[in-house]
Amino acid sequence: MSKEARVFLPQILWYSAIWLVVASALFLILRYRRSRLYSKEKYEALIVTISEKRQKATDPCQFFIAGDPPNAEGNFAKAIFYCDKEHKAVNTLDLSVLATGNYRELIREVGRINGFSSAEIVEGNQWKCFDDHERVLNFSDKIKLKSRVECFFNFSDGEIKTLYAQNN
Amino acid sequence: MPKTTKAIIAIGAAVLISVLGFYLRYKNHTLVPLPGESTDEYSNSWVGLSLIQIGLPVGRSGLLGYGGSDPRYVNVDRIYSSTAGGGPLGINRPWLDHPPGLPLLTGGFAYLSGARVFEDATARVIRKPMLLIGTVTIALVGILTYQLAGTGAAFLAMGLYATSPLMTVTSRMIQGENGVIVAFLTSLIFLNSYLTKKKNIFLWLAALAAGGALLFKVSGIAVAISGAVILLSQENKKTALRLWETALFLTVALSFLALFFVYGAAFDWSTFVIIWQSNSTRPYDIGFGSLFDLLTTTKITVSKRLTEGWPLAGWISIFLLMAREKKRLFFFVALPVLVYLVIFLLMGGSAYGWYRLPFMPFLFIAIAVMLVDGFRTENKILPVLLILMPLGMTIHKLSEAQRLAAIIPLWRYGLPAVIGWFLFGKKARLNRFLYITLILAALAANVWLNLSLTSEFYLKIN
Repeated sequence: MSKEARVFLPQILWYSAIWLVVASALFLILRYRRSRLYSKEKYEALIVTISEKRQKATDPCQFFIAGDPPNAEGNFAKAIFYCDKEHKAVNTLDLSVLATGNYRELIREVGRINGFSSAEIVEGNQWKCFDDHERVLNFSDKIKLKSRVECFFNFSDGEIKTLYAQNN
Repeated sequence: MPKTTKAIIAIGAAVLISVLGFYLRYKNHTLVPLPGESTDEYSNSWVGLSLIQIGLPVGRSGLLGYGGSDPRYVNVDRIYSSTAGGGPLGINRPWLDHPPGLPLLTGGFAYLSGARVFEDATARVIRKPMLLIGTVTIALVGILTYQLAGTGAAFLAMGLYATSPLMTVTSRMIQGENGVIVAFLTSLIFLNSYLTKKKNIFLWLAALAAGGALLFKVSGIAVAISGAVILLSQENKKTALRLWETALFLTVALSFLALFFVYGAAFDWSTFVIIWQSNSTRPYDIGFGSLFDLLTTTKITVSKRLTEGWPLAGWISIFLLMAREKKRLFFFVALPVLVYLVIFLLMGGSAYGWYRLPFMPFLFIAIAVMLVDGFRTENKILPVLLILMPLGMTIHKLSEAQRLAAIIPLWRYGLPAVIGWFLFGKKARLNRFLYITLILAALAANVWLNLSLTSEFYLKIN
């Protein structure tokens, strides 16, 4: 064995032995932690829980989801909220994120994303929602692709009709 | 002046430059780059946070190898009202795109700061560790330059790297390349110490640092290759010794890559293999004009640019250094650039600006070496042009934020006058004074542009 080999070979062998121990420990620790910590519920909570530090929206018109989802391929809907005559928020949502593709889920998910409670819109009677000008009476109905869901706060039927007439 | 006093002054000056660099990185770090401009920044931190919280790496990926993803809206920093576009993020688990070094660093910091869900990992939280990494990089640039070219070049390299607006902005980003830079410089510093001091510990430290690069991104393999080439190219050693040194260096460095394989196997070996293949067969998005683009554009993301003259001056300086006889500068400055260039072109699956970051410290070191050499030589026209080009571009960018119309005549007549002066002026002392003034003006313009870089101005310029 050459002089260089006598110096470096033991170092390489020692390091390889230590590496094997470290790598085995890493493998086992990662496996153990995954089996102990992971569950579908924790995964969901990690992704969908709203941060306590995030500012809550004062109304559904304060924030919005800008832009159309580029990869939705038609599987999207618009949720537009009219909080008064001056304020509205236009949101576009990729429907693939909804577990159940109905109006309740659509408004709940937009509310979760933007930080407002959807209960008032879905359950209260101050909001009126329409899908492509047709009144949504049952929020459990399946939502159509490319729907334009519009919800109005404290608007009379006449005011809504006028608004639709102006927009058309 | 006594040696210790000199050393104290030098260290003090280095600390001051680092503090300035930190301040420039800290100012507006939550706003520029715009939060959500690259959702990879969040994803990298989510991977670390999820590893800590649920024992599984979870992040967003665009790779097809996963065979689909879980589309979710995570409205951190309210990115859906601004930068993110209307589409949900494609979440994957286990996320195995890259090694977990940076995710653990930023996600771990977020966890220690109280983050428990993805939305908690805001830019304000997760960019903080990057400020530290950026400042450490400034110091490392100074140390390596000091080893290779002395105190003057070290201060200049630090000053330019600390104040370059492109570097201050990109160093805030949670991208693996920023970690690769730290490992790259550290490895070369220890390798240089090994070659000069012949102590085995430095070879080990260089190898460990080279391995560290592979904890951030697989493209960090450039560090191991550069180190191996340097060790094999030593002229004053027996071939057997060089080979054994290289064997030790590569064994240690590449063992970190093997750790990434162990990490992948622990979660899902088949997914890991598919993702590895997916990563290596990415479409060649940088295109046929990749080299030209690399030299002439300075990007933040694919489309967002922050045009700056320093990188081009750096490339010119690298080419000039390559033509020189000084082998140490070639091996420790030009060679790493060339090795990373090969990796960049081979792995060049994307035109994102951060893929170019590992070139940057070496480009700035090369500029500093050329400018300091220019100070010592009589003919200063070439280094003067190397200063004027980035200085002019920085002022041009500044003019988009500040009212600088008044100095246009000064620039119009001043620029030819300066070039003419350095072409024909023979007064050595005056030339040196003007030369230093130009460098200081370039540094001041850098600082001014940094201070002007609010989110509104950042949106306007390109």
